[in-house]
Amino acid sequence: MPQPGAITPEIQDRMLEVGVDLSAHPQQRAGTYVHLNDRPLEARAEVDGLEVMDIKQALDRYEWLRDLYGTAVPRDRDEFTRAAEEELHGGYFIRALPGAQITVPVQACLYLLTEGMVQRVHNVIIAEEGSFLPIITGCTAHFGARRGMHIGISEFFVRRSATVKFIMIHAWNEEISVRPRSAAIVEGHGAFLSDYVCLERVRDVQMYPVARLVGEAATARYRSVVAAPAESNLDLGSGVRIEAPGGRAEILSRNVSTGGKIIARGRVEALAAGARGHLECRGLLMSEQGQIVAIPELTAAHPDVELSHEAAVGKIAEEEIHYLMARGLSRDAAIAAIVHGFLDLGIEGLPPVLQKRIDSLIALSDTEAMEGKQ
Amino acid sequence: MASQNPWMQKPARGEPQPSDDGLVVDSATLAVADRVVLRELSLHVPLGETHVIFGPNGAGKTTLLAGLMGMPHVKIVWGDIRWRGASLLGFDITERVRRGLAMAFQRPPAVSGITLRRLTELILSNNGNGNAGAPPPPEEVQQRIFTLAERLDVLDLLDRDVNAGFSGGETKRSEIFQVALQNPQLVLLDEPESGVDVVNMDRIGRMIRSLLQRDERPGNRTVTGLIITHSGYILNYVNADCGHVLADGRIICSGNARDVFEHIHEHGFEACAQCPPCQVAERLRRRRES
Repeated sequence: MPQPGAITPEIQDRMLEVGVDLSAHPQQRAGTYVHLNDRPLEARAEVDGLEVMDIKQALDRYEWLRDLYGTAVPRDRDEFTRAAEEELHGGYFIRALPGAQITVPVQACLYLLTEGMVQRVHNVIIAEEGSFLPIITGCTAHFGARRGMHIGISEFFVRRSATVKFIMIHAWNEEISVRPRSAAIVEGHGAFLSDYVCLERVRDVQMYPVARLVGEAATARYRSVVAAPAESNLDLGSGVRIEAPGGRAEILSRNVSTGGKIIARGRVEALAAGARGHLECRGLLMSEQGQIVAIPELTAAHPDVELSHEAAVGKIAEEEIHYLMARGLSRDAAIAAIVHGFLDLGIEGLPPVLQKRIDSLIALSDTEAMEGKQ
Repeated sequence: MASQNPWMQKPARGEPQPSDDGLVVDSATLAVADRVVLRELSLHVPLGETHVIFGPNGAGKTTLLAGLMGMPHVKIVWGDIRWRGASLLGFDITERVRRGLAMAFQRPPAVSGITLRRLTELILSNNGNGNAGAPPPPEEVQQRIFTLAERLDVLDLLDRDVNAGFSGGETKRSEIFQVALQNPQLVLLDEPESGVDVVNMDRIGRMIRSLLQRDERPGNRTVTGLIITHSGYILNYVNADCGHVLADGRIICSGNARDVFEHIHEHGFEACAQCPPCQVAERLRRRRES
């Protein structure tokens, strides 16, 4: 077992699986934050116009941050937000200064190293006016840390005409519980684009990030690609509340169960004129033991809004498999191609290892169950 | 009409050898969901020839092609299907492709998340039909895709999900495009002209003609074809060797493709039942009896 404080090659390899490359050249990563167990290890910005530091340090440095802190996700929202504040371990503070165009992602890793650890972090991300801020966050656990818990509070503040592109990749272990609590506040003409990927077995994840579009013509998009192997329980959702005119919301999710349970929630609330929202939830059941529940919600509180949703849950259509087999693919290759295609939401910047993860996922599926239902 | 057709009378190539006699459907009874659709159907398409099947709606034409291709929903409950002397029964779809079969579907399913480009890359990385050998290098794959896509005017479709929202003409062009990349020996085409406008018909017709080597000397043709057609437009592009009428679950007439078509056009499918017995079926029957 590596000692806390030392980033061993093993840890680095695990980090790579969630898109965090500590050996990356500054031309590939604009900044880096690493948090191991209960302490921050590394925080640095490689480019001008970018700040990366531990949240405690940032709270010491910026008085105004203390007023902002806890306004998107109230500290007393639930037992997990309270637990994080009672014994805060740290978290990342990432800020793009006004007008800064960060062209390559800032990377952050929240790493659970020790068996039984309850990690409590609070992250604050600010994209100041007119800035562009891409971030890739990998949350993962060491292979030796089978049991544990991750509590992660994340608050996003997207100022006027700014954009945050946020990718979060989870890769946990079988006895780890995960409780992210996340919210974004998006000002006029701002855009918050969030992608979430979780393909490995985990005991349970429960999260429901929400974006509030408080300025006119703001945009929020949540995309998620999720797999639930046997004994995984994922209760996931995304919500967008359009509070100002002309807001746009899009929520897309792709869910695959190879034996686990997924609850895929989504909610768009349109409260202002010209709001547009679309919600799409698709699920693929690859085992008779699995379960996928799709719960889309649309709320219109203004006559001039357009909201729509699509939800489809089922197994792979045999007709599609046969069609690809007629093009020379074996049955297994056809299923693999369909699942890869199903999970491909066009998220850029994902580590190549995730493709292999999808292959191993397919290998775990109950193909006999699928073949028996022609 | 059938007794005068030249296909029946040509002896030049002699009787095909049993080991290499093209496609033989030998008294096959095909069922879908426990319902017999085709009963003791016999059909022979010698190697290098292209035959056309006509028939009214619901005659079982698509079921026949699906059965030849090995689609699991079609069960062969009696008889045999042989390709180049070997029975195809017991082989799944992929194995039949490996043996040289390829099919253009009439109504192919949309496959979400897989672009036409990705599918054709998969086809070519598999050497078109899954046969052994090193796949072509990526540059060659892209070049072959581009060249054929340009010829069939499917460049605009390459980055769209396969068949998702394709128009009738786009679907047919895409199907022929894929089949051509499969480098097949036995081409099965299910109504390649349905839902296609005049301009697209010309493009598709020429491609099929090329795919089936119809401009080659008969003795040099190595690709065998079986085309299902409802409208008969494909005959303007493909000089088929023989036409068959499928009705009531069996072949009721065979002869020169254009003659058969014109006869149907003038008198309807009902009149075909009055024609002399199919000589192909007769030949198969005689062979079985001997």
